[in-house]
Amino acid sequence: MSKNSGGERQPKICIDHLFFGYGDSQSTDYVIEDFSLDVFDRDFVSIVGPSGCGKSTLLNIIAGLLPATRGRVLIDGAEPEGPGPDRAMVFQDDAVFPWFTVEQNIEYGQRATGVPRAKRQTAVRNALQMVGLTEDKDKFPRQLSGGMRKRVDIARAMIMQPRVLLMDEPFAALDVMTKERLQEEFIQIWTPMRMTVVFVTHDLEEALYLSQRVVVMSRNPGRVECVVDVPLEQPRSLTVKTTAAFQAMRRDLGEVLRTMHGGLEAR
Amino acid sequence: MTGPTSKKTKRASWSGDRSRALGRKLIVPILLLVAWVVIARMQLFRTRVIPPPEAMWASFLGLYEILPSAILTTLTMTLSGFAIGTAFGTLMGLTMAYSRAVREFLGTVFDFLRPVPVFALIPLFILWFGIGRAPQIALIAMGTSVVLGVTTLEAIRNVPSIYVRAALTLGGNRQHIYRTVILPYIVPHLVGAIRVAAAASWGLDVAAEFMGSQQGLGYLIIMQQVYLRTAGIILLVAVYSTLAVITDTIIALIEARVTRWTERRAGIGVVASIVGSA
Repeated sequence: MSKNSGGERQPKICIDHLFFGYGDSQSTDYVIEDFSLDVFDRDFVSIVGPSGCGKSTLLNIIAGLLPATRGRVLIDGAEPEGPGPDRAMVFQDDAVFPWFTVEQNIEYGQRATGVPRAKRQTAVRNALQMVGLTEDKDKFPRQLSGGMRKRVDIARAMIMQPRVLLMDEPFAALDVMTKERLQEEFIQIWTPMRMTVVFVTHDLEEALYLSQRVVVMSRNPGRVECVVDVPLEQPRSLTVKTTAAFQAMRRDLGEVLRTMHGGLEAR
Repeated sequence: MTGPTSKKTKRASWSGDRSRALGRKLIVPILLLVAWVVIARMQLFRTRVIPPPEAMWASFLGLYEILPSAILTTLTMTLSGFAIGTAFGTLMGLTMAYSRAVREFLGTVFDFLRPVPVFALIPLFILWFGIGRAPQIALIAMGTSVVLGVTTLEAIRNVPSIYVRAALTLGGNRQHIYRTVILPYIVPHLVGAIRVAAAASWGLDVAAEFMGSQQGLGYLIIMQQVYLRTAGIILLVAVYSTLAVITDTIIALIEARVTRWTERRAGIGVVASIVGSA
């Protein structure tokens, strides 16, 4: 395990001594304390940690939905003002708009940002094809399965070509089989596009399967415990999960999570 | 009393669940009708209290000519008041939710006017607008707008934050989110309030007509009361009811169409039987 020091290029995301807490200046309860991380362009980074370590909060801060208490987040060197499609987010809960059809959901962001109709139609058609929902484009979300709705969610965010795609335990609410299928499909979609992704999960195997680097976040307070490189060959198929190298990494990661400060054993 | 039993056996001779269900639905109304006829025949009460069927028919013949114009008057007034009140109330709710400035400036006035018993305003409206259609429409509009305003505000407050968050991370601004997320989400929630407001409109209309109109169904009811024509009153109340049921059915049909995307329609089986939709 090593701390990745990165290169000389400017990081895509620079999380600079971030603090987030509740309370006043006298007695602040910090959920996230002195969290610093650089994520580079086209990186796929996962953040893992025990429940309540603040990883979802971290993602919301990057997205601009929550304000930092101290410190800042820079995207391409600049501090963004509030949420926006440059940091599109896929949530764990069902965020697909039930009153719109699949097609209307996917084109939502482009309509909101004023993309002209012709361009929109092409982009939506490609997005539908990318997630395999072309035939279902006129259906309402209540007519779709959980996995299909998740695909709509992903297409809706990726069509905005965000600088950073933020994913907050997106597959956590799905059953194991759908989850694995979506993981594999997502890798296939992501590989040609290679946008920067920050992926929060509590599933260690998922983190190791999908990402190039795994950041372990401690709890109470939440900070960077360590960063692990995942040097497995890409693109990865599901079979990599059964290889010895993968299982060894998984064991080590589990060990870190158990024994670290605020980890699963140290309560 | 051989009437009802022979009717029942006739029905039972068709086989199948549908006729049995129909029987279950009709049996109470039929028994009530029979009881009414019997009571009237046996003259258990004075005719002023329970008029016999012949009096109903005579009353119908007497009112037949003036009924259509009275219905038209009542209908136009009630529906105008209802439409104005619903539109105004919803708009008020939306504006108060959208703009903090509006909330701060108008909030106190709104909170103050809300609990005023609307019926108490009838005399005021008559003094302001004179006797005629205006005070009636004003009353109905006032009553319905308060209901709709409060419901709209509450419905907006209860929009699940995840939809707003998703819209924000996709590039939506305040205005866009109100149009494309908040509004569609609250429509099914408003429909319930709209149905209640429609029913309330009829009540408000009756009160308004009692107080000072020269035409319409409510006016006719007062006239019937003055001449001790119980049968006429019952008939007119039945007409009112029919109008209310028709408007409610129309709203229900619109509701079905507009809530196509909600999970409600997927509730078949056990869930539906518990929440009463089946």
